Amino acid sequence: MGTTSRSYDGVAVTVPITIPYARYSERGAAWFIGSALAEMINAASIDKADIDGLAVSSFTLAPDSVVALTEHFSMSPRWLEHLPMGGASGVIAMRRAARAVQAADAKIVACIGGDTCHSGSFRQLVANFSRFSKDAVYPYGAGGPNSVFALITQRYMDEYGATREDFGRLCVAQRTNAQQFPHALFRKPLSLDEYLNARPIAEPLHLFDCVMPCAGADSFLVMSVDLARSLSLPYATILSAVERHNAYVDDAVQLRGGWAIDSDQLYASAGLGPEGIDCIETYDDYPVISMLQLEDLGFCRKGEAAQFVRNTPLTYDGGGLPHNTSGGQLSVGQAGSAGGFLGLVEGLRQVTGQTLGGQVEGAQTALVSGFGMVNYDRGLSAAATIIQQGK
Amino acid sequence: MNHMAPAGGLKLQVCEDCNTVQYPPRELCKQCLGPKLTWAEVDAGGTMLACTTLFTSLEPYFRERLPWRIATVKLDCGPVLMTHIAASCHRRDARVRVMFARDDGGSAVLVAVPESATDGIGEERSVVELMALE
Repeated sequence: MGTTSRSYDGVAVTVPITIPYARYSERGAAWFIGSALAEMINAASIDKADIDGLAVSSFTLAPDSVVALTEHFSMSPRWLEHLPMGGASGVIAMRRAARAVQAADAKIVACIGGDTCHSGSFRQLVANFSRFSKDAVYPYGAGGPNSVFALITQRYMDEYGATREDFGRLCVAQRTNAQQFPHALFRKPLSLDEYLNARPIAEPLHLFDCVMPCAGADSFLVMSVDLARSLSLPYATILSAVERHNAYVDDAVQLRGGWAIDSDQLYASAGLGPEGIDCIETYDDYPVISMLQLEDLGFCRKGEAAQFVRNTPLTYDGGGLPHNTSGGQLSVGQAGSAGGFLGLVEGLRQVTGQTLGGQVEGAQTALVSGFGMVNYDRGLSAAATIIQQGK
Repeated sequence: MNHMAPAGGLKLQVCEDCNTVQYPPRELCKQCLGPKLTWAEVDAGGTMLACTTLFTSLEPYFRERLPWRIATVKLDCGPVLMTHIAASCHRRDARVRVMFARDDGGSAVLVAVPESATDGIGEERSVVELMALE
């Protein structure tokens, strides 16, 4: 098969860092990204000059890009990447960085997703998100992503018989996880009744189906296993990683994502199946999207995620399938592009025993998936990786 | 044929080379990447795949008029559209007809109305009027 990627042998993913989320900030995106960089340098006991690769994803950095940041931070990297993939950018940054390290194009790559959030900046972002959404989505009620995902959620419910209670189970379990996670914006316990009785946002979506836009950053370093060892850094290795963009163009409504095309390859390269996954971090901009990932990544069949969440404990300590173990974006918040890094940073903490919140007992492997960029009526970018505790 | 009525009809970009109907508007044909896209009358019939009622909006215009209904419509001629939708369309897979109307800002926007309620819609109507159609 000519489509099989080479392995990521010899690459370490390490130093998970979160710059605590804030609902609003007067600071710019560069502050959040630079603070993450500083904390990683500190945590790894390296010099700024040791970082010779920089991969950044940010919506609110505009008009600047990662190029401008090299001047902000007075760095002279020899490898640079700016990722416009939103919620898929964390996994994709890791893939790109891993190849750079394997090819010796860079020795240490800092991968950072960070954004700020001012009052009004979310409206600005949504109103100008893409040409298609400007022309063909925003004029229809200006509901932002809630509109698109309400339509997807409604069709999913009609097609497969999922109910609001099913989405609620997922949200409530994530809130339970968030109670242990110090950086979550929402840590108050959430009952299924509270979930069901919350005010409507865009039917069938209600308040607790929606993420809170906020400011923050999540980040990690990619380097060789040898270097991670010599720096005595706990690290994970990459068993496999995939990305897919604009999958299933003929589907009238997005009821599956690019993961469904590549999940066989993902598991084959990793040498394990869904049963070998100790925790999963899905991209949860809305619970229906997590459901799609559970299906498309093989934890249940298409249309059966509702059944799956009815029967499977999803909390970090529930003995089922620990899912979004820090609380996910639904409880922690969505700090723009950092939302595409949050799952990978949490998965990395889980398999390296560095969790800030609930630790999945004996976690060796994590599956992390990303999803991003609603250009028109669906998310275009899908990515997934399986990482494992470095030995 | 009723759905070919010129007034209140639906014009979308069509590729002169491969006849693919395009939406949202593009600069090149999405199928053959050819440059010859012309706005032409297309079959306005379609199926409502999903609808939602918005209770929040980022724009004051809609905020003052909430709740507001929108839908995803699959046109028989191919494209998937996001549209304003008549109050009487809520059954999934309902047959609809999509037409352009002027919104209050003067922009042309798409409204889906029941296929059965399209007789006599000749002159241009407002979005709000169309959304009230039975």
